[in-house]
Amino acid sequence: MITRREFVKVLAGGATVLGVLKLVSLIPSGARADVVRPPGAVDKEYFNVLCVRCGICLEVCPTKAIVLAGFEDGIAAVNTPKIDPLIGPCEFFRGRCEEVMLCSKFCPTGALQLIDQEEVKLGTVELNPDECLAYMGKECVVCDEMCPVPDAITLTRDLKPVFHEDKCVGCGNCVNACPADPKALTLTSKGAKRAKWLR
Amino acid sequence: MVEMKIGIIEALRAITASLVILIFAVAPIFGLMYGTTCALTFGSFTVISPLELALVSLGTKTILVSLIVSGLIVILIVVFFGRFFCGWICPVGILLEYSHILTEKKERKGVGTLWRNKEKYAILLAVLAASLLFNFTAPYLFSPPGIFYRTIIYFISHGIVGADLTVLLLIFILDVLAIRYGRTWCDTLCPLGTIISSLSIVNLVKPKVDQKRCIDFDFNCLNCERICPMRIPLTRADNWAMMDCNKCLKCWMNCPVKAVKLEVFGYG
Repeated sequence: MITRREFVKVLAGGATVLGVLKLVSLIPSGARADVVRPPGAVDKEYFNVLCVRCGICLEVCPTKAIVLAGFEDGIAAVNTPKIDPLIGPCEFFRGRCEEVMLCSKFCPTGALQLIDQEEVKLGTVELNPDECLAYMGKECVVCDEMCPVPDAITLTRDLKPVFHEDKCVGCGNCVNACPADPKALTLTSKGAKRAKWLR
Repeated sequence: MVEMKIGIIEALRAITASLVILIFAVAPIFGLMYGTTCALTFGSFTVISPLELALVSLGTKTILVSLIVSGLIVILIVVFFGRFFCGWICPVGILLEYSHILTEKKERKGVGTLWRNKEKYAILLAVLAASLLFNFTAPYLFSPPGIFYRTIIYFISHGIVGADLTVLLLIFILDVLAIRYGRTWCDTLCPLGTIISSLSIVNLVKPKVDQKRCIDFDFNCLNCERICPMRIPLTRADNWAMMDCNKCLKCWMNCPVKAVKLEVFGYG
């Protein structure tokens, strides 16, 4: 069995490793520390702990919009799911997940909670007028046509899109469809509404 | 020279491990099952691995009601069958072990001693404490079966290779550098392996040496100890050391005098 000397050794070793882990967790994360989470994600402080990185959400996502976070999203968030609108839009507001949000339905731990779609806001889309075709004088209203949310994008009289932060749900349809290269639109987690973690 | 036959059981283990990979890759396409060994869902039923359950419970400081039933079922299986997973399912462990067998030419000198790998308890304790104290869930960064399956399903579904590959390569490099040690990762570092070891209290299936038939003392054979991938000192192992047994049955197959008996439910 275990002697007292060995027990003390294990404890001392554990304390050392714990110190190393603390240092690793303090490695500063990149600029995009706050990533866009799939719909129904719980509060930021619990998400990285509740998510077991099983990969179920990225398997069930019909548009494959869910990708895994990498080292650039912070060491504690590696392999957690995030939304990449360049691969696909999140269809929780309109589309294949309109009835039930599949990622939240299949999440085994409750890191993604099955909440009412009305309460979901993934983030906000921001427009960069320097890249936007409409602002460059060309004819383009793709983002307005793709947007599933009424009044989130309005057109000015000369057909230039204007984004409304308060209406935007951050589904990424407009970002995915934007024909400009590089994209004039970016999806950020600004203003995201997360699910409350209930014990 | 270590005598070892690569027999039907070795082939079977490679087949079961490959089958599991195949199931994880194919089942989601038909919507039968999602997830990997970290957590699985069949319809509404969820299975969660003991390490993930511990990390989630410690990190949130709550008992998750939705997971506790399936978690306890898995824990009970582990209590009775121990590290069966490591020997028959875990692809990383099997790859490490087989690469070791295939490259080994010289006699392996290192024979295990009791409590050689107690560092693993230090690592497990630290990992769980990190989850409890500062919500840092380190094993997701380096727990091998999880990252192996995840790399595969991520590549199949999205065609992307994620951050996991770096860690997977690191594990292989660590063991390739120490190629003569075989499954060093599994018996000293792997947090999942350690938690399974620590839980396998009953450990129904395990090999036992019949001291009357064993020729260790006459001929210094120790064949069973030299071929054991988990480096268990079988001829003098107590229950604690046997917790590491991954049920590969190599010692049972390769004993020259058939002194290793397989003890099932305490009978052998």
